[in-house]
Amino acid sequence: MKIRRVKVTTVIALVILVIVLLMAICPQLLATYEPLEIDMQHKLEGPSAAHWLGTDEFGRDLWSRIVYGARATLSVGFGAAGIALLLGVPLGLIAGYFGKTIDNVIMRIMDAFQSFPSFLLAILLITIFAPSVTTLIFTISVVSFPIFARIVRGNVLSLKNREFVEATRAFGAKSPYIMFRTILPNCISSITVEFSLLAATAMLIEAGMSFLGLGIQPPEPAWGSMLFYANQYINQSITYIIVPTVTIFLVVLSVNLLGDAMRDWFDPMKLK
Amino acid sequence: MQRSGASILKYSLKRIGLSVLVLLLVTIIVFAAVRMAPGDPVLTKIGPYGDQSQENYDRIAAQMGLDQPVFIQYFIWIGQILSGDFGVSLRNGADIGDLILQKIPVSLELIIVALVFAIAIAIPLGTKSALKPGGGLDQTLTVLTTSALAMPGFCLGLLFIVLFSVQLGWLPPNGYISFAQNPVENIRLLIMPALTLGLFEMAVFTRFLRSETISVLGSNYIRTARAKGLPQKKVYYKHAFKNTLVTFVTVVGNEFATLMGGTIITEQLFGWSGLGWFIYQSVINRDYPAVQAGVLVIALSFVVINLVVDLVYTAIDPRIKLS
Repeated sequence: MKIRRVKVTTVIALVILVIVLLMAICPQLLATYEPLEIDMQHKLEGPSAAHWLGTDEFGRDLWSRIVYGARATLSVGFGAAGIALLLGVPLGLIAGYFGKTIDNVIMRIMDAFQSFPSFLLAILLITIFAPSVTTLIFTISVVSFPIFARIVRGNVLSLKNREFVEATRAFGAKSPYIMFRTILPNCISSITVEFSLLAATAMLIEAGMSFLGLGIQPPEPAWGSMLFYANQYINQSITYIIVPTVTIFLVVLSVNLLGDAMRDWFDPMKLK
Repeated sequence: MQRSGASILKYSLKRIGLSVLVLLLVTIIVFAAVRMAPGDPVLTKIGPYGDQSQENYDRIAAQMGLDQPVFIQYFIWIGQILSGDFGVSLRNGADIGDLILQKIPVSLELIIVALVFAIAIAIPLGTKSALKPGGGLDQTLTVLTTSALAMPGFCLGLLFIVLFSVQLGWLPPNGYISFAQNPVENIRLLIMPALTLGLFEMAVFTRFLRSETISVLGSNYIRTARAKGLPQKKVYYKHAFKNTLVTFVTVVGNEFATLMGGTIITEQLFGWSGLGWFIYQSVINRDYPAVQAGVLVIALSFVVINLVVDLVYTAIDPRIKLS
């Protein structure tokens, strides 16, 4: 086997994601203050030794709020992508494997879901259910599971008549066994890549919703809602805007880069 | 498959039928969503100072058709929508249909300017980088487009406000004035939201044009043309470019449809009072009939634009398989 060179950007992306993961799992280790600790003496300050990234309009430490906000963003990103996967993958397997009418019915329903602008459907659902992490996860997974169904179905169609599948069938394996134990493992690469892309999209939707005040509710720290408030103090503190912006940008970029790296990794055609 | 007039017609009818089905589903989703919304529409209609008796409640409910079975209510509602009656706003009693009609051109101005900007930049950049994949321009562009795609619109928009309004003081941070009222101020207010949407679209288009051009340049007929001894530039502009454009038109169409529902955050951030801004204000004010109408109008235009794009594509591209 050839040794593959790993790009520098991939390593940086991985490091950033590990840090964010740590923030989400044990924020108390990384934060320097309590995220809700108010200190009106030091509001809207720039970076200093005491407050690494400055403070917000209540003198709350921005670095600590970023650290504590990671959990909400990651929960929504990976939660939504995970539920979409659980809904979409079996549907895609069934549609591709059985074909004909079953395939037609499932895929037409997927068409209908995909022909609805996703952000709009999310807004509609959030208006009705109260905004929260759960609502966000539910909403985003509902608007995105057809992507998984479509991708898995495409994979199944190209795999189901291959020799190793025929062989398994000849040994007397039943349909569920062939679908889940023989075909599914061969779809893992495209599922993984799509999972990372979807997680990035979900994080963007979460940030956007929180920015509109329809996502994570204050005083709970979330990167998107920090920007909502930063916007009101735009004339007084620029760090307040820059900090969440750069955070969201870096995390989404890292997830995207890692998705690209995985695609290259799994794709044998790209091996040089 | 043979491309006869009959097969194109058959495909088009199938595609239209499917869109009608999707539209039906969209109306059901919107209808069900508003039914599940908290609050009793009858009590809202009566108001806090109205007659609170059970008889009056039943009378108003019957007037509004709310004593009918749900599916009958659905058809009553569809009938009203089809006759252009979107109801009145809970907030100020204004006719929602009129409000939406005023907001549509405001959003269209923003979307079209953003798309034109994106296309004008993406065509030269995307094709140039495809002619020399892996070159300096190509690598720079890959970094830029990857970054643009990871940057949420509102983050970029806020950075623009910090730079152009707060620091430099060149542009007003937000607001809307119609072009007829004051053309100069209209354009000054338009620049930042259009850039915010346009840069993202530019990244989408550049990426698409690059990969599409590379795959067209690798196809057999281009190799044949090159083998005939035609210079690369000529081959490119005479043969490859036209074919790239056909698929590019559909991508632009799809993005246009997506933007119809994708301007909410940008319009809200810059106070550009189009359809997205209107929906957001209605959401904040719990003005359910207005949210319902706004979402419905956008979803309908999304489906219809995609349908038109698809049909046009089928008509102009002789290679498409009709299945």
